[in-house]
Amino acid sequence: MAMAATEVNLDVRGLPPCEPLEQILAGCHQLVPGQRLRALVSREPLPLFPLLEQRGFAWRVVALAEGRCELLVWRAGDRQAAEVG
Amino acid sequence: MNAGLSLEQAPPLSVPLRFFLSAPLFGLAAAGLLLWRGPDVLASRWSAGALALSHLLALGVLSMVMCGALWQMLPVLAGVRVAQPRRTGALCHSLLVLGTLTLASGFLGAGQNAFRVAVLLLGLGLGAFLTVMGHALIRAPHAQDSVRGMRWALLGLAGTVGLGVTLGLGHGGLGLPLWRWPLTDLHLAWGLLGWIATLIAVVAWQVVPMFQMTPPYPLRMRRWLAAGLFVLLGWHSLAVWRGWPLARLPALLLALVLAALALITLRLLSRRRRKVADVSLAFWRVGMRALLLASVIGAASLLASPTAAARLALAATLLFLLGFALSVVNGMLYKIVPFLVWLHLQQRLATRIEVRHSIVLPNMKSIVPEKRSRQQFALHLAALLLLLLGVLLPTLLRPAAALWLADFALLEWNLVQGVLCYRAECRHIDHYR
Repeated sequence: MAMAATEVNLDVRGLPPCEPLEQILAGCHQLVPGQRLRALVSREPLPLFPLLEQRGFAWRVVALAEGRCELLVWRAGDRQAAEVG
Repeated sequence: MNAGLSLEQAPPLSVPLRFFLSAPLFGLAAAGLLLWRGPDVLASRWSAGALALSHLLALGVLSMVMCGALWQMLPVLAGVRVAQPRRTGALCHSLLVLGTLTLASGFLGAGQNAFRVAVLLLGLGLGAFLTVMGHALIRAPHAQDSVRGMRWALLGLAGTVGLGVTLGLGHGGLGLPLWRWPLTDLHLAWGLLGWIATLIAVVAWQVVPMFQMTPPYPLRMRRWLAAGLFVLLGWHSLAVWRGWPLARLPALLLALVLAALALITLRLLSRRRRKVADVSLAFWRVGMRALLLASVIGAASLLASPTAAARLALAATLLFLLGFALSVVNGMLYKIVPFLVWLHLQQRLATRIEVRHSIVLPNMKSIVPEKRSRQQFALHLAALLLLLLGVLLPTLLRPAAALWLADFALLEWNLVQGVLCYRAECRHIDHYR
């Protein structure tokens, strides 16, 4: 049975561009195997996705109320981090 | 779900930048024209100088920036790729530059052939732009308020271009009668409201909350403003064309809608969560106050005597173009250019896997220095106030033009600083060991 993945939480709502993107990128680079980042953002960060793709990360967006979203990011290929809840 | 942008969807930085860097040069040409010809330019809206000036501004400055911004914003806001952005961007930009210069030269006395060439160049350039953007917007997967609004704005541009081409062919003596009234009034109304105001409103409800950290625009406004503007614009056009009774009513309602847009934006800006004021905020505030004033003066011109109405309409048009649209476009440039530079540097950095953790990129605020953009804002404000006073005291128009010249020169300089910063950082990334 796989170990439960841990999560790093980040709340970047209310920060001006491009600080949310900078903080999410910095947080992603700190991830260890089995770990993923959960970021709360004010809106879907479309410009971030190419940057994540280039750096070898995968992500999932969960839409919340009023355009806000929850962004889950893990290292591409890290199935343990990807498959949790 | 890994939906969103792929790397191929974002256009190269050169595509929007070529539009953004050209715009202040047309501003310099417009200011130079006013300095050269002096008060005669604004003596009447029919003067050759006034027509050349208004097209240098509306096409060369405002539409230039708005077209460049759409190339960039469509992938970001609508999640859709514009076909062959480098090639189509270069084509539309070249045709818009050459067409605007030729049209201005036609108004300044270069003859009928200049109008014929201008109609061809602008018809092809803006027609290609409408085709490329329209095709992308039809396929847009994100059917949000902004996508719907952008579709209306493109329809407004198509109406403006159609009327403009008809008028241009009349100037060029190509069989069609030069029926100045009411076609000119409709061309102006579609250009200012259907294209410029609609696109600025649609972009505002994305970028104002995003960059100024305000609450969102009211949902009803995002859903109905663009469509409402078009219903009123259609009503106004038919009323003018067919001579319907109460022809002034839709025009008054249009002024009311624009005043509401200005008031709501000013209220949102006063409720922003981030209390640090930057130069972009200052431009937005001036722009929205100017829109409010332009709406009031424009409404007053509809009810005034014919002599007063001409002066009031001129003041409202100047306020709209220079006070509202130019200020807001200026404010957007100071956010969009640093953001794009930052984004493209991040993309470039990602290609240097071995050194990417060792390089610290500049943050957005340092890409175009705030001090210089503040100086440009002061020049912009002084030029605007002097120009408006110049409507009453024409001797002030030449000093206003001189300030305006300095304003556009500094804007160009500031934007070039952003490009130079990008180039320096690219060299740093590429050669870092």
